Amino acid sequence: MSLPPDWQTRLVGFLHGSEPPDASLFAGGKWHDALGQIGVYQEQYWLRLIGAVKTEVRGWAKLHGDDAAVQATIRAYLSDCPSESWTLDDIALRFVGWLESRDAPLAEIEMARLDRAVNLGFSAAAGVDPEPAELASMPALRLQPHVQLLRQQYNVHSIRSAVLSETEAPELVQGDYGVVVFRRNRKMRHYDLGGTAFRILECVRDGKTVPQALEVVFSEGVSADELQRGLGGWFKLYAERSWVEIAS
Amino acid sequence: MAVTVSRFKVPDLGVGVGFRVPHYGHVVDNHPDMDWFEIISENFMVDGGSPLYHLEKLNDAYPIALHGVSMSVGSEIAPGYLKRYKRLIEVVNPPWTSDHLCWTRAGGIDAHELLPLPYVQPVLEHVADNAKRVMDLIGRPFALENTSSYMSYASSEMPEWEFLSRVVERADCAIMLDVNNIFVSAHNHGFDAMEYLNNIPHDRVVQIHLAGHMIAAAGHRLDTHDHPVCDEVWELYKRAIELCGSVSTLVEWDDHIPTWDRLAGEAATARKIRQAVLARVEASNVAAS
Repeated sequence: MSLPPDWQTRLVGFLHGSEPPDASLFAGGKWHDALGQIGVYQEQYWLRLIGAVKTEVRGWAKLHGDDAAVQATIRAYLSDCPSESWTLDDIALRFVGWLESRDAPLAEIEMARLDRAVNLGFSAAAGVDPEPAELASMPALRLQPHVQLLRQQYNVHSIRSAVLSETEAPELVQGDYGVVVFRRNRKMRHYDLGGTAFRILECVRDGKTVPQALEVVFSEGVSADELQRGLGGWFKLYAERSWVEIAS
Repeated sequence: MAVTVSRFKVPDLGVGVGFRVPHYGHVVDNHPDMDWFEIISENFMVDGGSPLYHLEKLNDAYPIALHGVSMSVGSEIAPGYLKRYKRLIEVVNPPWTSDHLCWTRAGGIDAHELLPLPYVQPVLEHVADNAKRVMDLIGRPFALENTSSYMSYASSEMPEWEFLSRVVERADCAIMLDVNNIFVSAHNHGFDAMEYLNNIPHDRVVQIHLAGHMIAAAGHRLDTHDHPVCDEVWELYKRAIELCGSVSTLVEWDDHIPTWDRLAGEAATARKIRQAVLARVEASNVAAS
């Protein structure tokens, strides 16, 4: 038989389940008939992709429930959002948006956002660490490429840390958390920085200069005294933990 | 001094293993005895972090070849893929690179599966055009690997070895000969593995892959890379070395990855077999002359 011009998009549709398989495309053989042959690939497809997403959303999986529930939800996600990237690193690229579109619990959305930030940071470029003294002149700064800032309403960062270290996870509690997700010594970390130190970093992320960032926090009610006391230590922390670099 | 083999004059790197996460630390810190390493290209087509840190250290200590799983020469090469691929090649400077004779994506969706191709002329021409494009870009030999497969197309007009041979001749590219894949596909599709091996252009083979596989409950064999190399594949390997000469060989082990010593032991077995076959071939050549 001749090959239909759209055979490849159809075959991807068979694997994905968006199109019923057409047995006439395949020859069948000793171990499987034509549909059985595509079935082998379909099984591999779902095993591989569900496994890949699970690896990327380990924190979310802990919050979501047992393995059957996790697999079912991931399968639904992949059905709606098939992979468009050549790299499996992007397999959960649209997961947060997909959860939001389904009105998932906020804690799960926040955890998925944290998972994604960790994945992005893992193989992001490293920046150039400034010397703490360089920051004294308040040069223009930006976040290093592996750093992301998450303002969260749940302590999902604490739960995720417990999941990864296989220790007992704390209760899910509400609060106001300013979490810095960053890479240090090739390992991803998340740290609840919070407060004015976090707010200044948010301003840097949003493209403000340091004086502009200070104006923002001042206008939001932070006292000159607090700024005076905290500023040196905060910038030392930013530099030591490789959170910022000097914008060229 | 490495001996060059094949029409592409690439070096014979000896016998190596795949560079995999559980062994990153041991390899880059202790530099265990191993002739060379192969890396999965896509794992290192990133901007930084642990992958590039370990790659830099590996590259300082061992020869490396690149092996990809997502190029999809049989359909559409994803936007941005080749740019990152070339950047990685510039960092590593491998003697050759390889990917699979298959397709993985269509219509903007990536299946992340090594899907077989129908063995027909228009597909052959499409693959050869893509392979030529890749070689033009990277400026070094590019090898296509025969995949293992579990399905066949009603439209196919030739056996796989003929398709592979005609693609590489048309593109003037190299072959990455996966002996385990020949064995797995021969079992699944009922062809003769030795006939396959005998009927490809041997002077185009720049690398050989060895791996283990499993037998599924339904009776077909699955290329899982999670077992030792089986006896039948070792026999095919002997024949491949007889036919291709001192071609660089690599043991793949990607799931249930064993200890370093176990993996290195599998490579040592390959090295011993390879040396014995090459010595026998040389002796018979001397006798014949």
